[in-house]
Amino acid sequence: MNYIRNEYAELYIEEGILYFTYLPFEKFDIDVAEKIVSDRLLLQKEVSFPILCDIRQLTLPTLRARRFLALKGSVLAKAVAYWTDSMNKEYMTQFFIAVDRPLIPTAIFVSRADALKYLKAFVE
Amino acid sequence: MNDDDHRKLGKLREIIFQLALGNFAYRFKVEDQMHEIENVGLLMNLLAEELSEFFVHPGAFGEKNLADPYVFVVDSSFIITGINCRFSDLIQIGESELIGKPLSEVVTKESRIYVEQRLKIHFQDEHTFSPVRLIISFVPKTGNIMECWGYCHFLKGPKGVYFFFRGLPIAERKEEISTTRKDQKRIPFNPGLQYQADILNIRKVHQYILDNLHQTLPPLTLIARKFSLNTFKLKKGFKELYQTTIFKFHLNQRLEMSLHMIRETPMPLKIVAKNYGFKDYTHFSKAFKDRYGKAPSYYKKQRRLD
Repeated sequence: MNYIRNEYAELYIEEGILYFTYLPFEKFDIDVAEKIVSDRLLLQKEVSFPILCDIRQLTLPTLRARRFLALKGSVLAKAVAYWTDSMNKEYMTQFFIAVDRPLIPTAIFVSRADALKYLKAFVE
Repeated sequence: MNDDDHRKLGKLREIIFQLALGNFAYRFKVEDQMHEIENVGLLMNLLAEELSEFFVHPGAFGEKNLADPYVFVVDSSFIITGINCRFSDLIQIGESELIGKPLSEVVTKESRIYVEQRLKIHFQDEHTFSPVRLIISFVPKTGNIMECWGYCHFLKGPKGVYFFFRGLPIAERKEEISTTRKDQKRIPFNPGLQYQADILNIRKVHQYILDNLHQTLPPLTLIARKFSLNTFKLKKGFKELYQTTIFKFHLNQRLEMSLHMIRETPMPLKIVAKNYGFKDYTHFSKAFKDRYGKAPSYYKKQRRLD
């Protein structure tokens, strides 16, 4: 199994990178956060990966969801590169990084190529 | 939108981040009050000030059931007429000596003026239903100033009115060395800012613990030094902010992350224990059972069944 799609996200692993794309949905609460982290860990099978996270369609997570993602969402993640083309999502993610403080190296990019370049350093 | 607007928006975002981090002393620098973005910055400064008032002490917001507070009563002339032993300990003056003393002899001059003004304004209608929240700077016998927060209630009796104070100490500081140079401006000590600085450092310790769940923590003295706190302030402040001790918090977070790993991954239990800095599996298993009532293997089996 190298691919998972649920109602919130689509994810697959390719050449040492986990590609994670948020799908559009209405409410991003703690249940959603738990589900997407659980599915990601299921896909990873104990192996850590750098993650390219496409947040172009991201819904604003609730405070509890953000706290969960910052702590438990960091499990088995070597680094996360958030990719967005919208300023609004960029600010939202800047807030997440500055305030909720994920435990792993995290950065935001407006170019997918730059995001991948950043993650290459974490690929074994 | 021009470059200057982008820069101003960046500053606005920064104050939002700082407020969310609990840094209520951070301010947006207003350069042009006619500018729309800067006006929002100005409002954010006001919000920061308001929040700072509420959160100057973590227990000061809505916390009315104080454990072991100091208590004292003054009459309408601000003469101390009743105390508890906690207050006597705090001021380091015996009970008999304190009764009958003017309040002005045990608080700083600034504090006396502030308290009198606050009480005059708050209780001008002599309503007794809501207390006033205060920060008082006491001068104990040591000469150091003791910052305390608390509530003052208005009481009416047959012999007149009384003010009933109760609260807790915030921090002790050395008395500032007075200067004889008149041209040198004294920067007034702001207990709120000092306390906020401590809170920020304690929050940094909190983040430091989360960043170090994979290993044991260094001794408290080293942590305190790393974050510019003394050990007492670190222990007490952390407990007040997070309702647990540093080492309990570290242990519980490691156990919680371990449980998460056991539930969500097929990782062997010994590896989970090692990943979260437990000396060996036996130690991990015991701590885990103490916390969750069941051995790690129980959750492992549950996962397999699911």
